[in-house]
Amino acid sequence: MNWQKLQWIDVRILYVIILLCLLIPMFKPIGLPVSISENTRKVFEAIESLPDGSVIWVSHDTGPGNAPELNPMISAVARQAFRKNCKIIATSFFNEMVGPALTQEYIESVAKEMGKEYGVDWINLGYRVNASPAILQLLIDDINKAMSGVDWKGEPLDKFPIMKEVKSIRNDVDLIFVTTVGTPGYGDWMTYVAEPLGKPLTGGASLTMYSGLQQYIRSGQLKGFLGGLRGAAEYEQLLKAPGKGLAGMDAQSLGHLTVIIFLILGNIGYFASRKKA
Amino acid sequence: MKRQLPIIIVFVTALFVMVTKFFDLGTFSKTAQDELNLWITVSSVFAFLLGPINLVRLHWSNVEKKRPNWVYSAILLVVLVISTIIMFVDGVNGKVSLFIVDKIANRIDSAIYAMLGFYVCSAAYRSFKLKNTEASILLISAVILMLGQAPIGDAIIPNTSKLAEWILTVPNSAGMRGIRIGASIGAFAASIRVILGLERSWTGTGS
Repeated sequence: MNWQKLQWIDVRILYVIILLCLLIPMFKPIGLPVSISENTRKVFEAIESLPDGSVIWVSHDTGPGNAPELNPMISAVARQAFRKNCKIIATSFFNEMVGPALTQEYIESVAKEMGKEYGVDWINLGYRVNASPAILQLLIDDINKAMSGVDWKGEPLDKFPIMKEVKSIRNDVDLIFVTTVGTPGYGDWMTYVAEPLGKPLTGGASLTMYSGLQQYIRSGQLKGFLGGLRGAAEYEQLLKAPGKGLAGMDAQSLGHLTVIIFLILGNIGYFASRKKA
Repeated sequence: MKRQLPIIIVFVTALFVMVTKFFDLGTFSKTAQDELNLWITVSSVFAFLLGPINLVRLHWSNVEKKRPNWVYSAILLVVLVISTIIMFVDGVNGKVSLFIVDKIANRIDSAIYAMLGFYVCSAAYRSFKLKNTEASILLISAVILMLGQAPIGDAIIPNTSKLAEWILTVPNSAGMRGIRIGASIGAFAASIRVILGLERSWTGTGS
């Protein structure tokens, strides 16, 4: 056999195999168990340790590209918060186009399921331009001023009971949960809000960003963090509420396995060609 | 004056921000910072105008001069005009506007990002070779992380996810700290040069 050819397999074959590996588990899940990482457990415990009825600030700072990784985290944090009768103040500062709409969609679906009311148990304040540092610093003492007095649909904040209780992050918010794909993200929230106020900060990031924030978890500045779809799946498992995170794990398993097999084949071909040369 | 005025503004503003941030001037510090934050927000809204203006100028010129692939520029301009009109008429949170954002723009963006996954796979297959020690470390770490990030890793080799987590939290964390400290010192030095007027390329008048 000509082993050298293994490094020049037509990439279209790779594309088709990857596609099948991603599609098949969606119709026929394998259901592999997901082990829980320490970082995910810390996120869960940070929220679990809050007193019932606390206020959690959820900033879904995502764009459309990374949304499939991060959306399940928003559903999961909303579920955990509402189970503890916590209130959620939501924002979305990364992408004006999709962030607020995704935040609304994912929190609303959990809120409806759990009988929580918009404006009473949670609110979506939406997007504001130039969040970091200006809006973040304004939010510390005056949420109403920072968000120009309206929610994401332009409704005045004064009419919502939740905003009568929550006036500032400094005095009224107990934990900050931030999803991150870029700027603004966890770094901005840490620098301008969480660290100066001593508020616990946690959340989740796309897997590409996850490797860059480990030092903040080790230093305790982040109370754990969820990494990509895997992190979301682990979080769902801890909550015992399977969602899109766990559903995507089988596809991710087969996809990664395919790439590794192709890496091995490519290297066999490479060594065969070196030996011949 | 055209060169000096921007530098003077930057120097005075930077000095003002530093003094109000690092010295306790009572309520004055807080009020000044809040006011500055509002200024930043307002001025950055104006900067948003530059984007569409430059975009239209560039693509209009492509269409006018019939440059290669000018059709795409024409499509962009038409879509830009239509979506802008719809957003103005329907409102940014109107039904039609949200349909455009969620069902068209969002889906296209997600699809393009998803396609990157296929390219990454093919690039990894073609380039990840055990050529030397550095490449071998990179390849082995990548394989462990790929296995560790999916449940199948633990099913094939137990505790792969723990090993992947260790790679992320220890060697990777050490490297990232070094990079961040270096980048921060660099940014600090560059800022000092701008504040002191030693770096003037941003004024458009050369360094």
